[in-house]
Amino acid sequence: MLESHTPFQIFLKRFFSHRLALIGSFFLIAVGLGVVLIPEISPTDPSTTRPWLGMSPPGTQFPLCLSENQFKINEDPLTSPALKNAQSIVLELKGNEEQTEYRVVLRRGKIRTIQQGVTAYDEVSFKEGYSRLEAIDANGKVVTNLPPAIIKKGDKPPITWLQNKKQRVLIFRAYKEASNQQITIEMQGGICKSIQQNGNAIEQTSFDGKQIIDIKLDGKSGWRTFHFGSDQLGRDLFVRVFYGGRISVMVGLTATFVSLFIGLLYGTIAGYLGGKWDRLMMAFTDILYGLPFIFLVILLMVCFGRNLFMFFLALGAVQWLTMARIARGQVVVLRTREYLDAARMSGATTWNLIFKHLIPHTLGPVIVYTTLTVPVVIMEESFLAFLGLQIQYNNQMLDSWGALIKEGIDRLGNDGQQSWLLLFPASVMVITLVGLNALGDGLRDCLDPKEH
Amino acid sequence: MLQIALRRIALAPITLFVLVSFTFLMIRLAPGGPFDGERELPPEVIEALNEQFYLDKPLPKQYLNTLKQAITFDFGSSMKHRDRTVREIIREHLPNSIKLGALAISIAICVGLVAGMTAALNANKFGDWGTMLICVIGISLPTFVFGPILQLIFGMKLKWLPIAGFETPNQIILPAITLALPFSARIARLARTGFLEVLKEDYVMSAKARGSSMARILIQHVLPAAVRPVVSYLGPAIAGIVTGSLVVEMIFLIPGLGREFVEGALNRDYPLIMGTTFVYGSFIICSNLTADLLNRWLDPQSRGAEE
Repeated sequence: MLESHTPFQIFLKRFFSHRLALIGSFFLIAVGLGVVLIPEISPTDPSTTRPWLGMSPPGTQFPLCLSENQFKINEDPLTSPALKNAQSIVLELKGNEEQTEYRVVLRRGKIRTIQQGVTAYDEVSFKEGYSRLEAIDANGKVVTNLPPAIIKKGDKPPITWLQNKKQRVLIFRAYKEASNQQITIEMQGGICKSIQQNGNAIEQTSFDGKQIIDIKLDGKSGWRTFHFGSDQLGRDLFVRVFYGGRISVMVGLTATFVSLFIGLLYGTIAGYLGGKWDRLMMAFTDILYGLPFIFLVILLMVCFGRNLFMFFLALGAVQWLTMARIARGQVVVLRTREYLDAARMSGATTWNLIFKHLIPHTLGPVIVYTTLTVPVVIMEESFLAFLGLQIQYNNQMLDSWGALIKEGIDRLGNDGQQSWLLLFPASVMVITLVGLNALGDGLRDCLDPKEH
Repeated sequence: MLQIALRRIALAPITLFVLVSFTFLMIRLAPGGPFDGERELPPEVIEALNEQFYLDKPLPKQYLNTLKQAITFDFGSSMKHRDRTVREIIREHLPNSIKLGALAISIAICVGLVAGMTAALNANKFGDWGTMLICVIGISLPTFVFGPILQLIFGMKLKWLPIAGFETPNQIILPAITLALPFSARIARLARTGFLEVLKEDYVMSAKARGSSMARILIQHVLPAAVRPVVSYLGPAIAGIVTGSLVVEMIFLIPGLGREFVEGALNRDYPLIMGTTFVYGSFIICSNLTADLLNRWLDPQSRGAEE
């Protein structure tokens, strides 16, 4: 029995049996969801810096606060949005180390005086109450993590390497670990309501991100993971990659639609006019087509600044040429088709003719080419970023995928220790490009009019 | 046929003229001058420099001078390295770029043809769409990502090959592979289409029926017909290799012409920009023209079909 299928049904059937197209769509949906959702739901933002966590490999934990945080009762605190939105914050902070310095003068290898500031001592014990001890000799050589010891007037210094006869002055530094602080902050509507330090109510508090030993927000852990590691400033690469994706995808789509518009208009007019005008207009595109455009794009960006508008101008100028050729080719072919005459004779209105018989046939190649132009534009943008010509908007650098990849390449150095900075942004970008290219190819195979 | 060929040939110098004019306009109309970045030069020196590089003349005169320079292929001396002429720089750096490009295109053709043939012979099996998936990845992997990843794996982690440089033969391997990748992928896809079409032809069927061996059929009947789409792609491929070499030369620190162009552009070294753009432009235009004419000559259908 013969079943009849509409062209759209045939297209669907072909599409769902095209493995590459399916893989491509899957990739695109995954990246698309990431780019749309992750910046929305992520508890941290791409510009928060954490200097003490710079260059952390993927998997490192970080607390959800800023580098410096300040809370004052009945005031809007200076901290990250995640802390502002919490109802209660419980912090365990490492106290600052207290450092005491003892100056020891030696004669013939034996201790003559022990001084701390202006006070002189006969005997000092580092056995208890100190977390670590270090010694510095007259040459500036520092030895850290000495075993606990006692220094006494008239004795030799307790550590063998210090018993050199030529030593004259030694400095001992003893560090006392301050006890950890327990801070509980109650918040209401983004305003700080009460602060407690070790159980006592206080008016204000401020702490550094690096002091945090434990953080709980509304009873839940306030720690997050650097899924993709962090950069030199301790920014979360995971969030940056998906924010960058927004920029790259937006740039790709906009430039593509600009070229689509110009190309369709130019090509359709040329094909519609035909004859001398057609030849002239196409000769013009032929000349432009022959130019090594990437050279001109680089020059344009170098000479006229790298703002977004210039970028669209430069890339739009390249991409519309192919679009114009495709559109013109389609119009020229379709204009003389018999089936149009047949449709016209069987009473189709002009409206019907255009939308039922002309547009669907031009649409195929145009959709395919549009899908294949987006990855080209994304690639060109990142190519320019690689050359150091990162695009800007309102004098602000846009951290697109290209910019992140460029940073990763620069940080590769000679040993590739920080390769996550290159591999993660590059992987996400390549997955997107593979998705778009596979989808474009799949669409071309499925929409191919020859095989209908 | 002859008319079309002549028209194509006539279009080439026009394209080159447009290129030179565009480049001139862009670098001269841009705000700022080439000596802005240098340490406080005394005004007399700047004046002398402007005179030396023809920058004190009115714009139309400068333009005519640039055209003259392009025709005589004498762009004067570089603005940053004033002791060297642009011609010397090109003569010194172009051979490296050509060496790299030639090796890359050879790799691309060999790998592409073999991969395309494998895919076609396994049509619709795992080997086919697996190869096609690799091809899509190859096309989607930008040179400036693939290059550093190769450096990372083979240069830094495994330490098999040097990371950069261009003195010893093993330093050319990674850059050539990097440059060849997207083109091998594209050639493989074209070759696959070509092979699939030819394998369906009656004369291949009859050769099979006659009992010729598969290898003989492939070499004698299939290969010559199937490479036609590949040949038609060579023009764009060469142009693409030229563009790609810009990146590859930057990544692998190869003293080629592409790096000179990028550095010239970033330094606003006008004569160097003009010279390198002219060389690359004429090369790309010539290779496109040759490929175009070759295609028309090879493909009897298009010979009759045009107008």
